[in-house]
Amino acid sequence: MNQAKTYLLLLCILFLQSESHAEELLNKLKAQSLPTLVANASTHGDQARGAEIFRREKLGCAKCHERAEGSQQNAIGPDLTRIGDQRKPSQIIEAIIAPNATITEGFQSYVVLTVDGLVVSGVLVNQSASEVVLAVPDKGEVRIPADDIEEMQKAKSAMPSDVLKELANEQEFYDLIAYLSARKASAMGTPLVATKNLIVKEVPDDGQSLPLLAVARPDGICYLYDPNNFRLDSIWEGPLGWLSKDGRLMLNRSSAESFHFRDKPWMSGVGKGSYKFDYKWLGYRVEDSRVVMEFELKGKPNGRIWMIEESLEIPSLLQQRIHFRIKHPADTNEVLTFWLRQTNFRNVATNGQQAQRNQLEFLKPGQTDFTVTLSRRRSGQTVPLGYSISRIKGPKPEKPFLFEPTGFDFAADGTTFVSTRTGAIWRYHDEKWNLFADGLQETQGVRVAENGRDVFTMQKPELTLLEDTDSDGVADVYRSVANGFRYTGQYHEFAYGPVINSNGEMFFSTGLSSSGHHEAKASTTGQMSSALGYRGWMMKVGTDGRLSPFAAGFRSPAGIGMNASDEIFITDNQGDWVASSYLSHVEAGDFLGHPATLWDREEYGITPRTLDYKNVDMRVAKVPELNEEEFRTLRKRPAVWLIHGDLTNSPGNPSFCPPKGFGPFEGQAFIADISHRAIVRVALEKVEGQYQGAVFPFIRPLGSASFSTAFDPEGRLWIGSVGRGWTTGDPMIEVITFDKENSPFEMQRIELTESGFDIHFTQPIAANEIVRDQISIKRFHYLYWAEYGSDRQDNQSVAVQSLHVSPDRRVLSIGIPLVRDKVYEIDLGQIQSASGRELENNFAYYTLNELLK
Amino acid sequence: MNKLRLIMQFTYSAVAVVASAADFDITVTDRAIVQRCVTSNEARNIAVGMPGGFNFTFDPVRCRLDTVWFGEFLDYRGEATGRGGGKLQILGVKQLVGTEELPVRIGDAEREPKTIRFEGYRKEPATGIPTFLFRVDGVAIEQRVLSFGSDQVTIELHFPNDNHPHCYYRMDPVAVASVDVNENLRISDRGVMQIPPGENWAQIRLRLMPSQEKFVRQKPTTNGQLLYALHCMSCHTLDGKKKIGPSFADLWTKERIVMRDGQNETVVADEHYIRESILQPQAAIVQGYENANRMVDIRKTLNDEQIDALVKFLMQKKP
Repeated sequence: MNQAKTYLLLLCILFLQSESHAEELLNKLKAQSLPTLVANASTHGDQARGAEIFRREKLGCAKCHERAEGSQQNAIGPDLTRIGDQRKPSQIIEAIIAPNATITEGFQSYVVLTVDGLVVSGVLVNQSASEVVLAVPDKGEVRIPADDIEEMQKAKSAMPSDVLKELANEQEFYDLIAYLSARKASAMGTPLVATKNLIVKEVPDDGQSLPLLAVARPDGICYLYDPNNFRLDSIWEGPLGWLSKDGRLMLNRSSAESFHFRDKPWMSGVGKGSYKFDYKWLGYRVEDSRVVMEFELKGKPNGRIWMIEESLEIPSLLQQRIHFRIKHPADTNEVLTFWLRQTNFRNVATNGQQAQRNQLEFLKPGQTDFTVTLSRRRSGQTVPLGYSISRIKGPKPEKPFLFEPTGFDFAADGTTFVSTRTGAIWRYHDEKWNLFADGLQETQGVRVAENGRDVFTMQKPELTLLEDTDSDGVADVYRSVANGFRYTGQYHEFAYGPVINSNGEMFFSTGLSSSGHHEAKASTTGQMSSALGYRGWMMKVGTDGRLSPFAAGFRSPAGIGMNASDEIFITDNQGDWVASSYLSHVEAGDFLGHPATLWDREEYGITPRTLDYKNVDMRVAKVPELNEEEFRTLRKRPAVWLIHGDLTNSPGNPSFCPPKGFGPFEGQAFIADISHRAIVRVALEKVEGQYQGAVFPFIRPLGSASFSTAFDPEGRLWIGSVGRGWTTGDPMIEVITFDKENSPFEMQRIELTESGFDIHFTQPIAANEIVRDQISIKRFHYLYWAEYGSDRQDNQSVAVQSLHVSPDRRVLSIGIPLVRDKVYEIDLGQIQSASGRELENNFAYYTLNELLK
Repeated sequence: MNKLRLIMQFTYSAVAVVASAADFDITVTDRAIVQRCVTSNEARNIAVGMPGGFNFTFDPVRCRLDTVWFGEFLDYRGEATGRGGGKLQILGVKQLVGTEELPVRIGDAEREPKTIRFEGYRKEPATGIPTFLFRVDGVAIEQRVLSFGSDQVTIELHFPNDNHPHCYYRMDPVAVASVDVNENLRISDRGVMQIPPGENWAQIRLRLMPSQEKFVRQKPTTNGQLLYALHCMSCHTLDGKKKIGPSFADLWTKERIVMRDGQNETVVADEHYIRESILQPQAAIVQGYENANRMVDIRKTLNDEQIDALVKFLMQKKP
């Protein structure tokens, strides 16, 4: 199938030879130098004729490059209303002659092949873990669920190159250029900007009974409210829009960010007996330089009326607070529910109560003040200064196998070994790939053996040494190194590793089954289960080859890593008994929290120390009940929570930054996340003998569902993306390189002090005063419980008591009250380096397990 | 750019591409293929496909030849689609091969081994044919499995150390048409072959009972209950408990609130609704599951007939 589909896809993006007329005109134009063309356009071009040509139906420029009046639809091509400000005439000429030479950000075209065999081609509007949204000419936005996508490829510019075919002659080309060059904001009308007072404009919207309310604030932030649907629509910075001579306002929405609210977001109650309201718009008023929206909700079954006042507080473009003031009917204690969606934001917090994780908030009976605080992600890609991302083209495996990199390692001779999910090890040398080993089962990790020629890999049934005895670059002996753990064939029984310490001891981790055996808590939902036999364990292979259980309590430990001091770290994935994904240091005898793994401990006498043919089918009729009080005390807290939702959802293995080659982060862990397509960075410190520390965002987003990471000997970070599973993407290898001529401006690490935190920066921060208000610190904790993940509990702001900047301006000391067993969210707001660079990755989470004593 | 090239613009065209089972087949051509995979209850089995259509699985836990079939090799769909890790289908009819559960015995033919240690396999560079390496009670043994014709299987045992104790290989002679061993060795009527010290080579030639069945590509099951267990159970319960997706308890003919196109609506779970929920799981999302993990596209794994069976099964789940 894949071949047929790929072929089809190729067809779709195939170049065709142009017709001769266009070629003729093009050749004529190309015969002249660019400066000549520019000169010709400015002397011979006629703007008025150009405007007519631009709107000519057959040519269709306006169809893609202008947002229809009153339309909410995204444009297909870049908006050209101010192109004269944005591009020089020479650039405009190039863009028409060769649309693919430079594609404006946000206007990259993609061809998507769905599993049903549909081909959709259009400009990428949005891509998330769950869906891809394309703007398709004449169709508008087409949403394609990620699971439906078979393949997705970058297409050439969506702009047809046959534009020239529709031009009668050279003159028309000059007219068009003259017209476009003259399209400047100054020609569009007067920009509407609030200087002293708030501006509120009513803007008619096609097909809606009430006009939209557009608000401009003196600080340059504007927002739009939709009274037809009783919700905030979007927010942006810059002019509210442009006023034409006849007084019409064209909104400046090209950089607007949505509020992602549902139309009519209010409901009465939760679950059974809940009902929808009739909405009635009452109007708005301006009060204390805020616009207050007023409307009423009428209960359909009972006619009761709730009066709502809604206003927006805007601390910054990245954070907004929506205040609702509610007047309840006197004769009822019914609760109200407000629909929210977490996934589009970094974080959503309210003073209501959570009805369902990430979705609904309900108010306490009679609650009159309801506040929703939205923290947004920055738009666009965040890549710290000095880092760049490139791709390495992978090999094309024979069908039905795929190339989904799950691990990398690097031999001294410059060879890279890559393990893949469909059970192969590939060798990459001198930019050539060869298949080193195949026929393995879901290899999840690879390590080059001491001789630099053989390779260890972890596959589901065993740890294997692949020996290349004749040094021809292909393994000929597949040696079974360790298989003394149970493997029943359930898909979730993943195995990851190995890592090898300087003594030659090896470690690997095993995942629990998602169903089929003994659950730690029979009554709860969707629990992972253990087949008994060291599932959810870290196992050690001694230098004598003996396998022994090393540490327990893992759920789906998708990543194992080792730092330069031979210390082992693991990442686990959110689920039952795992509140959020985390990174933890693992030592002999540790129990990290999933109780289903405990029955394998010696004290229960169930699982033999050695598993072999005699006990491979071991089934136990009954497992003893576990004492929750006991295993709570036994549990080692994760070193750093990786903050499910905000920073990671499905993290892969941690890779530790070498001393040279990757910038000022030596010893820190870099982890890729499948769902977020991002890299996070973890800086650890030892407090009271145990690791804890801070997690920072680093790069986001990457090209695809990033999972595996490894530093090569030059200090470049390799990232492997898998193509299926919880999220869809293109399997690929991306490599992040640091250019040592540059220095990123980041929080290097956060150290706990007796009175707060010392934040160390990679560069001195600017000398201007740091305002206490711009720093926001919150603390919360997670629940350790049988349910699937945990929300932030007791999430509250912590007042900053003192701020101090070190003389070299590299350390910011924050004084705050400290409480152990909390996660501190530290948001620095807008901080600049001494050289004027803004701190883009301006937040971090510090997991405070222990205080300094 | 010397030449202007045009892009063929596809706006929104529909082209049907249907995957056939063979797209996921591992095809053996001129080299043997070794593939670790789950084909049976022994999850650690190693499947081998030899040029010419002879295939077998070797059980590395008991170090025995497990299954033999002639025909095509394996359907890899279970590993290459979805979350992977699925069982692979063998593309032929299993034939009885007669090896006992623990065929290799050391010192005493009646005593089960104390230890069986699988040590891996060696692939012959030119042909890819594997030699399995293992130790039974400490005695190193290398084993190859070959076939020189239809219904013929040869097990070769090699003892790298001549200096081994008495070794035995146990067969069930009734399970096969005939058993034959190399000339200096003997096999008893009960199928026990003895390899005395000093012998470093043994060959067991089996003629299998001809297969009574003809291989037809296994039709996917249309047992609704089984399909539910295989594809739905991990997220949807039948007893009302909440898992990743809504429970199927109280489903058929009952009302529920779903979100469709951003609006809540009450639907009756009739056949149309159930079918839609399976085929387009995101079209109408049950209240409370708006942000649940997205349901996988079941059409990738099930055919129309199977989906009909699943719908029928869910319709029978009357409260």
